[in-house]
Amino acid sequence: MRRTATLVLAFALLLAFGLVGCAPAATPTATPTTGPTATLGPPTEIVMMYPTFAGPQPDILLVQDAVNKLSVPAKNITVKFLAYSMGDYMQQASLLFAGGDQLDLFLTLPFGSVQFQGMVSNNQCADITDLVAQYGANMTKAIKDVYPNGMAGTTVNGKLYGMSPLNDVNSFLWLYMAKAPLEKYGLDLHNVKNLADLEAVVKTIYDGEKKAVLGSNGLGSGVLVSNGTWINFDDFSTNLTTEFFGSASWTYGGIIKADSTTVENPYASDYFKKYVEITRQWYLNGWIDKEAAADQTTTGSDKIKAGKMMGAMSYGEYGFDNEANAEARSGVAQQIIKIADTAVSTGRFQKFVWVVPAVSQHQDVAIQFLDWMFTSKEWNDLINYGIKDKHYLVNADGTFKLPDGIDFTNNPYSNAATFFFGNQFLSGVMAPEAPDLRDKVLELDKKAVASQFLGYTFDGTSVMNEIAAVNNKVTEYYLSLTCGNVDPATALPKFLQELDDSGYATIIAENQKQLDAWLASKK
Amino acid sequence: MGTAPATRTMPLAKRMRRWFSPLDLMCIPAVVYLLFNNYIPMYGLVIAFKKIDFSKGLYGGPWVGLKNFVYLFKTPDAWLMTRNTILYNLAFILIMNFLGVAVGIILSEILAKRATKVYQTTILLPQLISIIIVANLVYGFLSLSSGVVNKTILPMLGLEAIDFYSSPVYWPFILTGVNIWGGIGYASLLYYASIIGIDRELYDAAYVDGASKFRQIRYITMPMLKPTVVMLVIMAVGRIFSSNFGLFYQVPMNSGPLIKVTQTIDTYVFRGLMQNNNIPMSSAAGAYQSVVGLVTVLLANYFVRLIDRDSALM
Amino acid sequence: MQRRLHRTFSPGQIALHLVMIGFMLAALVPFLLMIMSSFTDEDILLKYGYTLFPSKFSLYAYYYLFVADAVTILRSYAVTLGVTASGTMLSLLLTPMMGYALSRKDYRKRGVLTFYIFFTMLFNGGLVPQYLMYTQILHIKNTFAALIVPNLLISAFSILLMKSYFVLNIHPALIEAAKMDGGGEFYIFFRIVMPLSTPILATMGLMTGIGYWNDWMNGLYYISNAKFFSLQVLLNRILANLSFLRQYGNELGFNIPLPSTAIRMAMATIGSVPILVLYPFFQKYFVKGISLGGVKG
Repeated sequence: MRRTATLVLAFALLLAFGLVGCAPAATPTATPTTGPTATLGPPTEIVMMYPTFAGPQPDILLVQDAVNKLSVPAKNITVKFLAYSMGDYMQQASLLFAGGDQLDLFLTLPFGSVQFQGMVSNNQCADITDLVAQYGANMTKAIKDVYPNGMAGTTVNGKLYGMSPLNDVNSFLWLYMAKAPLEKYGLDLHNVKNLADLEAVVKTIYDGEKKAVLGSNGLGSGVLVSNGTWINFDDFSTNLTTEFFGSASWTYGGIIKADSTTVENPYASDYFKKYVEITRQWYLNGWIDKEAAADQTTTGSDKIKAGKMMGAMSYGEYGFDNEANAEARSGVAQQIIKIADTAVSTGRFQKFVWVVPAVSQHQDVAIQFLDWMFTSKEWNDLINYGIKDKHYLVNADGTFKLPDGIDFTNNPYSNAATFFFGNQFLSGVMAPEAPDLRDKVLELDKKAVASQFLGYTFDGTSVMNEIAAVNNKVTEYYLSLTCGNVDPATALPKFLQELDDSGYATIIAENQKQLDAWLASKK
Repeated sequence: MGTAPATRTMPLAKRMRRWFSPLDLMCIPAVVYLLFNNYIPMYGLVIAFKKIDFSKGLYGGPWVGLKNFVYLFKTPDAWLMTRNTILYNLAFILIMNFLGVAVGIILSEILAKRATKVYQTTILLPQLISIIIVANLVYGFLSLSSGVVNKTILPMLGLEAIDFYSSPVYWPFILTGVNIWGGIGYASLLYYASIIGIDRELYDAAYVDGASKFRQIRYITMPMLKPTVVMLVIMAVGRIFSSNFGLFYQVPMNSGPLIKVTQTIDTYVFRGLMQNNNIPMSSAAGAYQSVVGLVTVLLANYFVRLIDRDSALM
Repeated sequence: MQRRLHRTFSPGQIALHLVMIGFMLAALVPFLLMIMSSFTDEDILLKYGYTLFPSKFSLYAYYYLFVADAVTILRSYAVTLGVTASGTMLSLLLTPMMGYALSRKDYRKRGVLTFYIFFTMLFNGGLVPQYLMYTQILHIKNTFAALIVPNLLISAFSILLMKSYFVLNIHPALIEAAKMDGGGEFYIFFRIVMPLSTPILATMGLMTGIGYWNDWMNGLYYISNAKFFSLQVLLNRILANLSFLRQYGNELGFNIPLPSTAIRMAMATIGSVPILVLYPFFQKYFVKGISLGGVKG
């Protein structure tokens, strides 16, 4: 009797263990139930993965259901979101790829083309040339209407491997400064047209305040030299022509002269040398925030509020110089001027790319869904702002606003990444931006200058180790040089020497070889 | 349940018991668990000998023999991570055991036993805190914009602020410091326990003979501790190819410029898999660590066995 | 006695105390700093950095965590508590069971099984295969079990530790006597062996519990649904985002709102306070565990 009872108990334990170990298998990832679409058969479910910048999004499943209510009638597709914060996005993506889990649409990150190019050379992306021709007429048209050559950026060796979301391609460099010190000394930033003007402003304020005037906006930017765009310091209203092939750290070298096709080492250029030397001088004068290089995570406006600096340059989209908006957003009254435009390069279209992983079983469906993403306004508003009247409200003029007591950090759903999810020009605008912002931008983008190298993609597979080594060197030196912390007279030659030792010349030579081949094939 | 059904099932129970005793049943959960958690994944070592083809699944690629290893050992990474792992471990072993013995002796010499207890309890505390929180604490000291060192200590000394998270030179010391901070309580307690176990009569005899405190420590405590020290050192040397992942990954906040001094085999394996999309190198490094680690652990165990059978693992 | 008293306050003794007080402060000050920073006004933090004696206090971080963003924190707290409690209990049931079987000299399979256990300490297949195992075969991704089962539930080390405890402390005669009285194996285990082993069970429960409380790796690998984020996983994500910004911020081109420094410290505080508060009560088991056989935390 007792033994039988023991056995039973033991089996019960075993079962309990078994439940813990295996029960979850019985509750697999829930398929959202959707409305009846009898004529088409059951909808196909695809899984899409993208990064988020907001915190956890507790309401994401509500939004997913709302999306599916639209996508089933439209395309007979249901979608499952995998949204990860940017910090573990790459890690989660690696696990998914390694695990072979279902994944049909994937947005590449980190920004910059490294990830997209890496995935293409690892055979992780499906060749979608034919699928897009078959199912992607709408998105092809949407892109070509704005950027006639836009899809060339994601084409490698004649094959299309991804679709860059349609978004504001123009990114400008701006200079912002707190209004208070400017007014105190009777200065107006809008009169600043070149470096000499800027120097005069900075000097006047410094002489009066004896405090650092310029700093870094954070996010890896220097004080004068910018990694993406070379400012024409002689005249802020014109541009210098450069092409860095999508690498923000200039890892593949760059074309730094107008009408040239020679890949050079940008760090060895006169431009770089001249402006890090000026930066150094300004630093020694005390004009530059001593912590500019080191503190890259505090936002510029917080640095202004903490009294560490009074202004910095910043990337920004069209409309960044709306000074009233800037004040409302940051709490700092400021003046803003544009100091450079950017040309449209290949890298711009590889910054983040929707790719279909090679392992996907639903590549055709994924393209159909992607096509819908480029054409549906409801989709773009839902994914970016959540459910209307719940996560956002609509003003009389058509702009959106957050409900009372809700801000970006505690909204149960918010993505605020309109440039990710298909067609930015279809998505609503959050007040206090102007209601016609998207139209203005669109107009401007249609006029954007395309780089003559658009469509060329550098394949770094054969120089992987050199790329990693060079990136490490750049991380080590770039900020301290461009924020003035080190003396370029000694540090710059050392940096260049170490770049050489890391095989920078090998990368540049490989890039030149591929570029020449591409140019030859284009003729 | 009545008696009658029980008697009816007796023969079955008996038959079952022949090849399935209750003791077997007790083992089953753990055996099954280890099968899934440890044994089946061991098969994954084959990945190190394959080329990865994502479109065919992880195990689906073609065999490439030792090519991944050859490639791994051609990169400077292999040498770097091996060197770091071994040097850090050596430093940790030396300093930790030295300090552990010292603190153990101090604790045993303190006469106020209540105070001893308080000290013991407090210095053990860091051991219990998750490495994530430890990383936050370290950040509180070293952060350039708000850390105590840069905001309070260095300005008081009239020194320039230091950007620790991009200055590799400091990190061997910082990591050693954090490791000792976390582990000293544990190490000293081990030695304290052995010292307490030493026969008091030895000390009493020495005291009667007029031996000073220092002589007692030198000629009684130290020799009596020697076997424990030797044992712990050998065991630690056996694990010289593995490292505390959290310490080397979380505490430096995964900072790129520090990689040269923070990369150990464990962090390399993790980064290869999770960040660099480099599964072949990651699994080759993992396999390398497993095999070399197995050899050193077995060697260490062999030596431990020579000294004291009971302390050996098997 | 007189002499003893005298010696207690001798210069030598005082020196020893001073050294230990130094060690004690080194252990405590970081925690104090963490707690004080979490109560510091954010503007003061930006200006003067973390400090032990802030010039202006603020409860904003806690207001943010427990009122403004209460759902996130309270839920992750519940997850951490639930995982710690259930994981520890399950582990305390399964580990001693096997340890006990292996401790029985009359158990024929003990040699084979002990080696089976031991071998897992020598060799492991690595992260990727284990991940495949749990996600492709057992499908535990985004379940409560994912936080409990992988790696933490049963360790070879604790089984062997239990085994040697039973060998040393449970006399075979005791088991024989119980068998004579007609006690089955499970009866003997649960009613006789377990009650006699409370010290080691307390120690092991403690170590396992702390392991669960502090775990972030399982959360990193197997959890993507915010519903199952534990406290440590939340903190880890914030750290990961910070380091992402350091590395890739320049390619991003816009700012991302991150929890402020005070909020980070407040989260770290509420993540460690339960341990800090409970520790004095359970420290004797911990100390005992270390002297028992080198329990590694």
